[in-house]
Amino acid sequence: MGIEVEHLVGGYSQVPVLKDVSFSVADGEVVGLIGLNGAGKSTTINHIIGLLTPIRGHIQLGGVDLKTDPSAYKQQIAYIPELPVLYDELTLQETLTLTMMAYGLDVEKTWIRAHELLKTFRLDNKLNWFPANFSKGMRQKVMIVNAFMTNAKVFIIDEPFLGLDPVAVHDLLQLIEEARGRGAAVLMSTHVLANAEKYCDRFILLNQGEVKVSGTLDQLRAAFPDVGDSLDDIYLALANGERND
Amino acid sequence: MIFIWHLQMVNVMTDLQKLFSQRLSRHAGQLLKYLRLVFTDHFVIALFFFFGALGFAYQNELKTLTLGVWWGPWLTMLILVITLQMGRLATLLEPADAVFLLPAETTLHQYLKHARNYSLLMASFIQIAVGVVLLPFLARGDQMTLLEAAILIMTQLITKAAWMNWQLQQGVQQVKHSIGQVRLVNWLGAIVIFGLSLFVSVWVGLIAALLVLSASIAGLGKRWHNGQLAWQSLITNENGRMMVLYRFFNLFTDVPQVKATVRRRRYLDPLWKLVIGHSTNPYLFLFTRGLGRDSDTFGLITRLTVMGMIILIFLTNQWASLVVMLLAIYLIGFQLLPFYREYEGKVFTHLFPVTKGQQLSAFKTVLTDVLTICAVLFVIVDVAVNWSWLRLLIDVVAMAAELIIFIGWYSGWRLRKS
Repeated sequence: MGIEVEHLVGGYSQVPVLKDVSFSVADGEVVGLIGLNGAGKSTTINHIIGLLTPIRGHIQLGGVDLKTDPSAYKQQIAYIPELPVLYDELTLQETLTLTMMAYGLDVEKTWIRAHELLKTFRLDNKLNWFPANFSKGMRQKVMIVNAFMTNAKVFIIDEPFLGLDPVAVHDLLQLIEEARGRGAAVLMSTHVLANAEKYCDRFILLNQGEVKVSGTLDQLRAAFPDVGDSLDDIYLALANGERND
Repeated sequence: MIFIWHLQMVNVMTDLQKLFSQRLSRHAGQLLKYLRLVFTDHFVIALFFFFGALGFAYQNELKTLTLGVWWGPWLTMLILVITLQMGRLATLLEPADAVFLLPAETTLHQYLKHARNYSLLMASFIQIAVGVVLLPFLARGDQMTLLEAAILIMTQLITKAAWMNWQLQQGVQQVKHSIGQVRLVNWLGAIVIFGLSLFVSVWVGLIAALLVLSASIAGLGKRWHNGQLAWQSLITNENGRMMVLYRFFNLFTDVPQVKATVRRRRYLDPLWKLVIGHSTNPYLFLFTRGLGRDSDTFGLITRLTVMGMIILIFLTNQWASLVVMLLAIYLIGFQLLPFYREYEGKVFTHLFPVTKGQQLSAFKTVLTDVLTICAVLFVIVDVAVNWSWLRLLIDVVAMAAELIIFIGWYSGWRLRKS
């Protein structure tokens, strides 16, 4: 089931940013959403998490449409935003408690999981801190813990690597692998191609609001036969192609 | 090449000379914008009455004053010393200046001199205003002649100029004095100078002030051409000064620069447990913490409640008290309504699998609890001051009716409307 995006036309105003975008992420699959700045990655993500309403087209998560059952739709999502978003008045502990309440999670069981994650990201002694005291990297880690302590079926991760130290990047990638192992669908947008190449099963290359090409790394290589082997090369070819347009 | 470089330098210097006046006009525009919002018609009328009453009381007090009371000079000294601390050095520097103006550091002296002069002018207005208000008291309480009083005010201005120089000196020297040291000199120095003026002779005080001023000019002159500025402290001081202004304006209108500080307020934890109970509504969790810790809203509620209670203590007329109570509850409730949308800007608020109905019911619960607490406090104060069973009954019925109408009907209507 996972994520199904069909013929999505949408954007922030009446002028569509996305023009007929279709792709899917199966359960137990990690898909990388790749594209230049302004290609439409964040817009796509905002549509999937339900912040924007499609002009045309459908999005389904686990077979549920946002319009027909918003509660069941949102219940499945764990989201890590590009810039950390926290409630200024809540301590770290309360932030996590709030998420558990909102998603109706078993508080005791989830806290066991949360404590493991907090320890991994060296936040376990900062439970009473307010967001104002956290550095940018720490805030990002809070978002990661907040997302991965849930047993969400769908993970939407927007450019997670910036500002994280190398240890945290490694831990995050491991968490993504675990989520995939549990059968979750993971959609991750990123510019860090080395990580994407290693950890994503498939890729979607967005360009000017359209899916330019999608598939496994081999399929991408076949689509851009003369440019080189790595994702980097293919990406650069795409970028140069756009510059010459 | 050298020629071109020279031309560029000249260019930079003339630009920097204009920089302060540019900054000043922008600063003045900003102040004007906020002042227009502060001095609205209602507020001006209220101020008019307030100062009118104050002036009247002052006049009456003066009439009953015995000539040359023993505490006259002491009170004068206290007022002058406190007034002297008002009016800080306004450099109008911005954090970005430490990066962009760093290469032009040595040419910034002219800029800082302009800033000093402007700050001194502004501070002098305050000093003179207080001095003028003080004049009748000086004549009666301290039995000064007009000449002596004028010299005293002059002494005040000269000392202020010296203090301003000293503040600037802190910014152009690398040796930074601790805040404690600076305060000590500011207060103690003032006490010594005005002590001389009031207990020895105004002439001695004037000479002391002149000596201090020349010392400050010499001190500044010595460090002036060393070059380096203490950027960090100059910018922190300026930010601090602006924040004081912004906080003041923030009492009347929304100032984007003032970010509400968050306080833990651990003592409110039991209250929240009571409010939330076994509810699993995440909004109840969020709204209670938010209201209790966001200093803006929390401060607003407590200020209005305490003010209402104080007014109730002094009102004996039952119906006047009732009107104050009803009005205060309405004001508190009305000011709380925008908090319903406090978290709309956070993406997670939209991601939660929670319905609008849950959000509204959580908000109403919090509103009920806050307003009930306020109402109970008002009723307690009112009947404690003027006890009667009838008064208690009327208060309780009126408060209950208001809460039911406000929360049950008005709040829902208001929130749906906006």
